[in-house]
Amino acid sequence: MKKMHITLLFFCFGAFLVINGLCPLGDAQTGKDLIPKILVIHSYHPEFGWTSGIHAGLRSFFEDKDIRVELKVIYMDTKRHTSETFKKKAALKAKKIIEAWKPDVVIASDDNASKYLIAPYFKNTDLPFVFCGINWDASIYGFPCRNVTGMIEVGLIPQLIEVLSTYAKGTRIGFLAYASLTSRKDAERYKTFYNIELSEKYVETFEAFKKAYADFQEQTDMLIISGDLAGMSDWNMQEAKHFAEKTTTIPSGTIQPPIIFCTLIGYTSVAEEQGEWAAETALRIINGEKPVDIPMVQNKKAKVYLNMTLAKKLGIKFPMELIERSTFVEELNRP
Amino acid sequence: MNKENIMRRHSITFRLLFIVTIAYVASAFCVLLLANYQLYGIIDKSQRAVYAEKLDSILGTLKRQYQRLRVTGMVEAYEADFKESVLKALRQTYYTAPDQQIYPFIIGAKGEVVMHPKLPYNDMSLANAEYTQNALKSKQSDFQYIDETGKRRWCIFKYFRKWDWVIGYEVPLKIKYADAKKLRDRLIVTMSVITLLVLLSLLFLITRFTRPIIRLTEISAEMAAGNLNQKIDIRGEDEIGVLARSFTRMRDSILEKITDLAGKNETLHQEIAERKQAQKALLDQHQFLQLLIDAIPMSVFFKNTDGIYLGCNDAYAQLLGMSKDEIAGKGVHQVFPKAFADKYHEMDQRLFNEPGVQRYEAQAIDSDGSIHDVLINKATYQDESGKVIGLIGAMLDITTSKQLEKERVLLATAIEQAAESVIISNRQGTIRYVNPAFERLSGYTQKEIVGQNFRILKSDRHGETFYREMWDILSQGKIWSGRITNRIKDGTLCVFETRISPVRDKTGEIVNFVSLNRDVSKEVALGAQLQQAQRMQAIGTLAGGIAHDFNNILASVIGYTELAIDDVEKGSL
Repeated sequence: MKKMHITLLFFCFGAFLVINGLCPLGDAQTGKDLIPKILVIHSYHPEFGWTSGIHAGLRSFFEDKDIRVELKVIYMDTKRHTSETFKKKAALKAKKIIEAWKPDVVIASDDNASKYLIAPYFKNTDLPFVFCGINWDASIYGFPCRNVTGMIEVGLIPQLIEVLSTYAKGTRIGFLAYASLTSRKDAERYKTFYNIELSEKYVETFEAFKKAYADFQEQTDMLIISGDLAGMSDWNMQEAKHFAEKTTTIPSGTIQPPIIFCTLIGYTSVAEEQGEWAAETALRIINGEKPVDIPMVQNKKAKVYLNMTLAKKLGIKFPMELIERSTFVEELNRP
Repeated sequence: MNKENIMRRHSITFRLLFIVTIAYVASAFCVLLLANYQLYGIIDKSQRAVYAEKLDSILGTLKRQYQRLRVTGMVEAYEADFKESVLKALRQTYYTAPDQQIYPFIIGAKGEVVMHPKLPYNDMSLANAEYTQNALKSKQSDFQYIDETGKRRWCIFKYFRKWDWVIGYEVPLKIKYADAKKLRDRLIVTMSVITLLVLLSLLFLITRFTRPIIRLTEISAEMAAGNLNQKIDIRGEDEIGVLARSFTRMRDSILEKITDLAGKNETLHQEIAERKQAQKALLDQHQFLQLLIDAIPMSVFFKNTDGIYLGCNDAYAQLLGMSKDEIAGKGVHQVFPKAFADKYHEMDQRLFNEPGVQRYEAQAIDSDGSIHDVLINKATYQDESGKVIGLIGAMLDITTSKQLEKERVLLATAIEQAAESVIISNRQGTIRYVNPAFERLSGYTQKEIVGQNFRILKSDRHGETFYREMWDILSQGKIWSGRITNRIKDGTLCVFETRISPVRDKTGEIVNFVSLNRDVSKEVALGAQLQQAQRMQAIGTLAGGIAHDFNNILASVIGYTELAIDDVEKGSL
């Protein structure tokens, strides 16, 4: 009788261990089938700052909320390979992966993914797509449609102008940019979207930049400098910075990070916002919402950079609220 | 406290459990103390590290803020704003609950409050506090103190030189050592559980080990109670097994001895019973004898060889006017006057000198002073060895009988010498006494006639009616008198003038008859002769004739008869 009791005790203990030990495994096994599959297609390469920012936002969303998803990432790398053929091939490659992997949702960042993959192959299909980073207007790709929604990227010009106006003596706004079609389109969009007047100067050389910059100090009350200037062949950021510190008499600003060393204020878009929104929307779709029922949105978050050297030169004392949410360009690595 | 409880308290199980419990509790207590000591040391070290890190974090924030302030290039312009901003951020970060007990604080160089969850900015109430002074003096340290509410607290602080701030953390000791307390509580519970389990296991093992001993104890208790037939079912080759076997042998030996003793005891009981019975019988006999001698009307006594009374009967005690207990233990001189006592003592000594029976007449004086004639019978008695150890005596008062004897002798002499014959018979007519006058009259001696019935004198001259009438009169207790013709020894008829009187006893019952007789035969014969002479004279004449006739007939008859006899052979008839 005593032996039987001991055996029964060991049996119960063993059963307890088995139940406690095996059940979590069973749950994991079952849950593995339920993990949603999300395919992320970036238009550019992973080292590209904007792309990495989007991806970081996307990943942090799932990780911060501890949401288990199976992510697969494709980089079309169309920033470094700009030929039409490459872009189309990259799109077809992505298409094959989609068909083979059969994701629940596809997130596509920036224009090329939408232009070369979604619009030609997947528009109005059953596979839901969330785009992000499309500049200004998604309608050119036929979005939104039954299976596509997303976040459009717009320049935060109104917010920048509002801050600059605080320290400007007048309302005249100068716009200094590289002499390119894109810069001109941007200026048009600013004027069209936000109904503002701009005094535009487009330059092709660094010297032209300095001259135009100096001229704007006399001709306008505030200056918006386009980031594409840094793409000029003879651009010298260090010199530009020193030139600005020496020459500036009016508050200036930019919405593109490369040029923040030369402006009083940098009001740049936050790539992570795009990624976070795209991840959240993909999750909503996985949870049952339809893309067509989710309206397209614009980015709102801004990363503020303050150039305290220029501020001191201009005698501007920023409010602490702005300082607290800003990064001093002096804190960044020297250009 | 009953025996069972005492035994339980002194049992091996209880003692072992008690010792083990004490040992476990003591070891647990030591472990607890040691663990507590070590744990407090570890916690002090770890808490110091943790809160130093927290302070470093705050210091880092302050340093970054200060760095940004410097970046502005307008330190003076921005300093207050930056301080306020960083303090605001710190408050939001660290002051999350209204009554939080662990909080960082910042004190300025003069002891003014820079940041505190309960005190406003620039408050000076802590400036003179001992711990504030300590903090400001040592800049970087930690210490314990008792706050104004009496709570023990621990304070660790560091110094931010740029703004001359002391940044500290206040932690109630209760919270600081909460983990230690929790661990200690768990340790207590764990050790208690382990102790309990160990005790239960030990209880099981000890019970298992001591079960044979307890069983032996129970068996010995049973044996002590007299039940020696207990089965000793303990086996094994260990000490307990050896003990059990020794116990079995001891029990068997005891059983054997008890059986032997029981037999002896039975015999002893029987002997005791017999002795008791004998004793009882002896007592009964003694009582019987005492009753017997008490019932004897004559005085009985017994003495030892020293002449000391050992006892007596009621009659003797009554004679002396003393109780039996008073007499016992006394000598004869203590109960009788000297004259009497000397005589008795002399006779006692004579008897002891010549053991046997002694009989003599003497006089005794009773308690009233009356002197009695007594007949004393004494006899010696011996013990088992035949040694004379005393005498027993009986004293018969013969005063009355002597008097009666005198009277009887007088009466007897009178009756003996009386001229008239006297016959005394009992109611049945058996003659008990006749006097010499009767002997002379009847020819019977007293020896011949005593014991004979009156009928020996019957003469057939009287019919039954005569005797019945006589008897009826006598039965009624009346005196019968008259003449009665009796046949005396020689067959002669004598006419007695008789007077028979009934004799009654004390109860009035007739027990004897006394018959006084006077011989009147001559008188009656003379009268009868005269009468006969007259009658014969008349008849003679008649008879002469008749006789002649008869003689003739008879002569022939007689003659022929004699002839017949002669013809018969002699001896054939």
